[in-house]
Amino acid sequence: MRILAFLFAIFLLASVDSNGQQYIEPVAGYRADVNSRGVAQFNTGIQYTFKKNSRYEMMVRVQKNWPLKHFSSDSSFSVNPLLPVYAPAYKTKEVKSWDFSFDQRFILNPAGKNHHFSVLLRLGFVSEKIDVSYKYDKSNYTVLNPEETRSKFSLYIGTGFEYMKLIKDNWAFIQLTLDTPPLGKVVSPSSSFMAPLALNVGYSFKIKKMKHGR
Amino acid sequence: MAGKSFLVPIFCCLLLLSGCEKNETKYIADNQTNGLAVFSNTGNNIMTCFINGSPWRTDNRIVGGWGPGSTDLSIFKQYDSSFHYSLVFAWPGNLVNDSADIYLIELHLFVPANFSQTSFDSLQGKRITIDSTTGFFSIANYSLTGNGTIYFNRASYDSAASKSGNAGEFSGLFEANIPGYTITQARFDNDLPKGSIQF
Repeated sequence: MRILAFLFAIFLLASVDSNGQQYIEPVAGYRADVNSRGVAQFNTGIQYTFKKNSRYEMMVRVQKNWPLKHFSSDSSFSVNPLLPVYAPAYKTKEVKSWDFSFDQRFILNPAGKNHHFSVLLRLGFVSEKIDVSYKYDKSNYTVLNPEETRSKFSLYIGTGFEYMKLIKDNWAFIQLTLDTPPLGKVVSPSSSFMAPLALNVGYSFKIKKMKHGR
Repeated sequence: MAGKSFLVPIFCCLLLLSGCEKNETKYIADNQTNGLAVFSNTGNNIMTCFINGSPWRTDNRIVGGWGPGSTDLSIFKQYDSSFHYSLVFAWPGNLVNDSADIYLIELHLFVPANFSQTSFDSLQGKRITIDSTTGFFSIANYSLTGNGTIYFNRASYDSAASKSGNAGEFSGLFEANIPGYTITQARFDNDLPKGSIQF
C-alpha cells in the first residue's frame, strides 16, 4: 500500500510542468481530534504548489504538528480494604506528529479574479506518537481501561475546502480539512489515533512570475 | 448421480468451515506492569496476575472447531464438605514462563442456599474481604487455600438475553495470600456467554 502511494506520488510529480506557475505557501493552523474530545495540536507547515491549469494545482506539503497537553481523568480501583474503592487517575495526553503529503487543489470557480473556492484532496504519510501518562497511587490502585503510549507511521488520506483571496499580488487562504488517522488495524479504542479536523490559514507567494497567474 | 456431483465440493466447504476455531481472548499488554494484561471491562476474556512475582495468565478462550475448545473461566455453585454453599470462580491457566506448574486458581465465595442467577448482579461494585467467614482462594491443583480481597467491577448476567452471544459481563481485581504463594495485581475481564451460569 505504501509502495503504491509512493508510486502514485512519483506519477503526480512526473506530470508537473516545470514551466508552469509555482508558489510557495506557508500554512499554520489548529487541529482537533474528531475521535477524542479535547485532544488538539497547533500545526505549521509549508507547501510547494505547481499550477497545472486554471482548475487544478498539485502541492507537496510538509507539516509539523505541535502538541497541546490535554488533561483528563480515568477511573482506578483498589482492593486494599483500608482505602476507598475508587480514585481518579489523572491523565496527561500529548499527540506529536509530522506529515508529508501530496495534495491536489481543484479550483471550483477559476474565472474568479479576486477569490477562489477550492476542494482539496490529500494523500500522504504521517508519523504520530501519542504520549499518555497517569498520576495516581500506583502501589494501591489499578487503572481501568488505561490508554497506552503508542506510535505509528502510515498512510493517510484527507479532504478539505478552501477559500483564497487576492491580497496585493499574492493570495491568502483559509482552509478546513479533515484527515483520516494513520491507516491500519485498530486493536482497541484505547489504541486509536488522531483524525484531525484542521482550520488553517496560509499565504501563497509566487516563485516564478508568469504572465497568467491564478 | 452425476447431477449431484456439485454437492461434494459444497459439503467439503461446509466441513472445513465447521472446523474453524475462534480465539475470543484479547491480550492487551499493560505497559505499567510488565507481564500482565491491562485491567479492562470490555470483554477481553483473560485473567492475569503475579504469583510470587511471576506473571500468570488464563488459557485462551477457544470456541468452534472440532476440538473441545478451552475456557478462561468457569462459574458454578457447589455445596462443599464444610457445609457451605459456595459460588466458585475457577480460572485455568499457567505461569507465563513455566507451563508445568500452577494450572487452576479458584475463589470459593460463600453464598446463601437460594443464591441464583438473578442474584449474580448483586456482586457488581462490591469489594469483599475473603476470610474464613466469607470464603477462600485456592490453588486447586495443590489443594492450598488462603485469604484475600476481591473487587467486582462488573458482575451481570441476564439469562433471558435475546442475543445468542453474551448474556453478561464479569470483571474486577483481586489479591490473595495462600501458604507459599502470594497472588498480586490480579485483574479479570470476561464475557459470560448465554448458558455459562447454570444455577
